[in-house]
Amino acid sequence: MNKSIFYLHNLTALHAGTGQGVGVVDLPIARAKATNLPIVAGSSIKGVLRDEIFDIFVKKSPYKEMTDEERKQIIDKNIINPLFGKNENADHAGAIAFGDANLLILPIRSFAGVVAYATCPFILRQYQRDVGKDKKIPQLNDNALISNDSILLINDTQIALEDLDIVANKEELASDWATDIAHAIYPNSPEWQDEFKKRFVILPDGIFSFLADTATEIRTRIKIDRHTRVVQDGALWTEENLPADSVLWGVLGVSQSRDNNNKKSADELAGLLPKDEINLQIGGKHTVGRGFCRLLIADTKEQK
Amino acid sequence: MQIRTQKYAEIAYPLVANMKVNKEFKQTDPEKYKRQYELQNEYRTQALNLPTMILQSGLAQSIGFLMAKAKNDSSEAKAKTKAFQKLLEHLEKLLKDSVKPNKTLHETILESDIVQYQRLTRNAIEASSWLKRYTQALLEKDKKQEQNNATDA
Repeated sequence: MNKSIFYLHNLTALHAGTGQGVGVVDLPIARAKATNLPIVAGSSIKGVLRDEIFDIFVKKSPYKEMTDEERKQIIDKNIINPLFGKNENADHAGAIAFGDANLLILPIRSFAGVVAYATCPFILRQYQRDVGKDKKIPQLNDNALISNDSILLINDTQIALEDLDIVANKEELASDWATDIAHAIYPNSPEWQDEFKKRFVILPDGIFSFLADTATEIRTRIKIDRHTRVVQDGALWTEENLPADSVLWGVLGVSQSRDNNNKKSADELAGLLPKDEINLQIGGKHTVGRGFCRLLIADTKEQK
Repeated sequence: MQIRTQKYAEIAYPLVANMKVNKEFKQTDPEKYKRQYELQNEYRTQALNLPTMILQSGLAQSIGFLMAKAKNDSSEAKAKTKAFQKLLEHLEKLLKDSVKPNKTLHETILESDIVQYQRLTRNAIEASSWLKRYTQALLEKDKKQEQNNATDA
């Protein structure tokens, strides 16, 4: 199986919900059961990507020159069906296996530098396992780590995030992680990489998990009665969103084609996935601007 | 042994049920009925809002807000003020295990270190969610018709 890592970077608030909630928020976002950290289900990304990849190939040669009917048939047969499976009369499964996207970076209000891009050792360890790196995982007690050129400090030793003043140390290890992640999410933009690094912070696990619970974005919405112009009875609800500029990562596996009439190797199929960033809309509430995302599929690595 | 939410639910249910207006008073004591009805409606509005308020504005801020709104010692206190007093009282009852001995909830919050504060916040969100849930289940929505009847009576 050919394994790669994908990154999902939401440019607007993202509502990948659960349909309904019985707790605080009427429409909460999906979270991993064991950690309560936000996730975006692999199935949400797969469906959207299927549509998007079709649109990408339609604009490419030789499909560009074909008639609508012709190219739909050929793209479906050669690319979409082997990768994602058939929509109708399914006689084989798709070759792609989408893992859930896990939270890597949560943007948090910061007194200095406007916003901090936060993560924690627990997440870095899981991320490292998936990416296959061999970096040191920081050990934190009560202090946070920031990169060498950080702009988050409010005095010599402290940063101020949301309601928390935390002692933070500049360390090479944090810079190192920041550089790595910045490169993964902004591969072609040194300026954005710098902006990211300056605001990167590794928080203690406990503080991060508290912020992931309480520092998501809650929006209250209403529905107006068209005739009276007042709120309709019972039409007031709250929605939870992952704040804009969060980053999630996930694992994506591609196997060989399972279509007996259209044999392709795993590498061949993985090669069909777009290498440039793709703009997608993911999750619910798209007509009110939620869920515009960049999806980046990192270079594939052969995993036996 | 009980699970944590069950404990909150057990305490919250009678508290919210007590806020329900007694329909018998509609005939026997219309004035009392009207007062109770107003209190029920005010309580309903605030209870539904409380968990989100704690989540968004923070625990200390929310309790401070409830205290400010509940402040009125005179017996003439309006339904709205009374509703805030009730809500604060209910939250304190629910969180009594988390409150330090001989301290109020507010004092406990102020003295807490960051770990205790985070724990209190999570507990308060969970506890107030039960007030919200049972309010939705037990306290009827304000219906204009019924309110008019109450005023007319």
